[in-house]
Amino acid sequence: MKLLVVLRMMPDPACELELLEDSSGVDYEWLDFKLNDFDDQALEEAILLKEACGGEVIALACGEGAGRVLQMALARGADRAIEYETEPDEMISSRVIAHDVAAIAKNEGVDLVLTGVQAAEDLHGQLAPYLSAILSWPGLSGTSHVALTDTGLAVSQERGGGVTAHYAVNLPAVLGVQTASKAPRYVSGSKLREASKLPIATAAAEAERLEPSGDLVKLARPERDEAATFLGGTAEDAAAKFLDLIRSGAVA
Amino acid sequence: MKVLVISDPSDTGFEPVSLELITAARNVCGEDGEVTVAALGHPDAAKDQFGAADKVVSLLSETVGLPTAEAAQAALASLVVEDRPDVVLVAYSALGLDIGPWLAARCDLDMLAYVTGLERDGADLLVRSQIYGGKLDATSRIGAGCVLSLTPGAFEAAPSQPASDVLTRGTDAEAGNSSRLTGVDRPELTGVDLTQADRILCVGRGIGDETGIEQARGLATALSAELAGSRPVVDGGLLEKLRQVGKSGQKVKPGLYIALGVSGAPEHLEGMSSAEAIVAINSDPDAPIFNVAHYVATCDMFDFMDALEELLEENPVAAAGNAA
Repeated sequence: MKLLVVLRMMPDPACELELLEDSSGVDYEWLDFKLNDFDDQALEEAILLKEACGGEVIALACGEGAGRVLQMALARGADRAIEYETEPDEMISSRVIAHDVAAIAKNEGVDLVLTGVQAAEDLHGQLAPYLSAILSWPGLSGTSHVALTDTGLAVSQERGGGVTAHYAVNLPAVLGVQTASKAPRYVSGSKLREASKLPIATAAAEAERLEPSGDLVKLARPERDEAATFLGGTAEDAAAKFLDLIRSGAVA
Repeated sequence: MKVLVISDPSDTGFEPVSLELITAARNVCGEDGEVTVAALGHPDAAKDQFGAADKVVSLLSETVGLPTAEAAQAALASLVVEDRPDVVLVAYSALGLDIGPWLAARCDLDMLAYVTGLERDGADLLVRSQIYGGKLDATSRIGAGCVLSLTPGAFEAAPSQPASDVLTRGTDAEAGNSSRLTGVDRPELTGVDLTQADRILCVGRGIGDETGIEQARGLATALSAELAGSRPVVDGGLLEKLRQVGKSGQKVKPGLYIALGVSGAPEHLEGMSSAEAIVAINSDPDAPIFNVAHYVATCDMFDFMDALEELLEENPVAAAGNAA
């Protein structure tokens, strides 16, 4: 089986986001970038599938630091790496990249595309259902387990409240992964060093693209309910005031 | 404006967000507009509940339980092509996620996700979306011909009332048959049930590893709270799935919710923002959890846990509520 996993670099969720002066976008200058969490899960699921039933994993990555993440993907068990070039200092819109990713999936003749169920920047919608529509392949998002069967895939989907739905899906298919069947593996420094010698191919935008949707008027921090009570400036103060709340019965 | 609302089915009826979509549709359709609900499956429940819309169309009416994304996509695409709605509203849910961008690509429509606010501005809509895990609100101007995916809980529910009539629309039996539902699991009612807890101590991604979890577990016990985690903690294998709070975990409403190092992405807030009292400790002053918390401190979660441990050792607290 041939698998394609799509990895997107996103601003580190722990990073403070500064806005450009005219609020038209995020200032990317000092941001740290990290692999989208869900894409990390998708990578793990792809490698687990390969280990269980053989085949080849192609990792496709885009965004700031994509090369570094592709080396990590190779160290974890991906067979080939492709860096897909996107506009620097711009949001990665899943809608905009979808046609290119679909074209790569087709050209490579893959049986299954996996990517994270969502990403921080997919204002214009999520990648997996776009790919599913463009490729006319069945798709399923929010997956928590994937296994190969005689007729295709057995896929589990999380629906909240602990409810899990199970599906049989024919190949080729597209999956938006929520959680891999196992937590992403640790990769050692020596494996990373070995992988850093492997080649990384590049792919540029080629296909006719979908445009971003609507005009972005502004970005802003959400309004905050200023009625919140501050528990203090230091951890010690906060801990003491927090216990006062409980002891006084101010909170349940 | 003609607004098409795509109901969000459960395996027995419809999710509450379906009625919230009708409210959002009413807000923007205008006086000469029309709100149509496309009910996926469960035609009887649709007739009972969706009377706040002008029209109710039942799709996949023969489907028992949950429809597959593929079947829903095919049925909806044919309806959209025929009816040409100006705006399509869908829930940001497991099924809705697979419907929105798919319809946009297939029916040549624009698409905005994570929508929490919506207003009409002449022929356009001004749409507010939460991006970057709820850290920023993006306002977009968008014209007719779009799909909007709405976050559950962002709009009031429209009244649930009987509809005078439900039109049943047949579907192409051949469409959407490359995936099928094979079963639905419900959580076993053994072990922890967060939905019944009076106090919950929830840790976020910053908890790091087993050592952090053990410290948090000790504090949870000392505070008579159940230990819970946000999605990254559970996905990382540090806590079991039954202890996950949020969209893909449990929806909880305890008397006291203590969030340590939880950033508060919209998917997490969906599961806990109606807790009676929310205490949030986070070192990031921009963490969205602060937007819903009642008691807040900006400090390192480990410093806070160390300080709390020390104080509790000197002087333990009594158990919560009537358990004392």
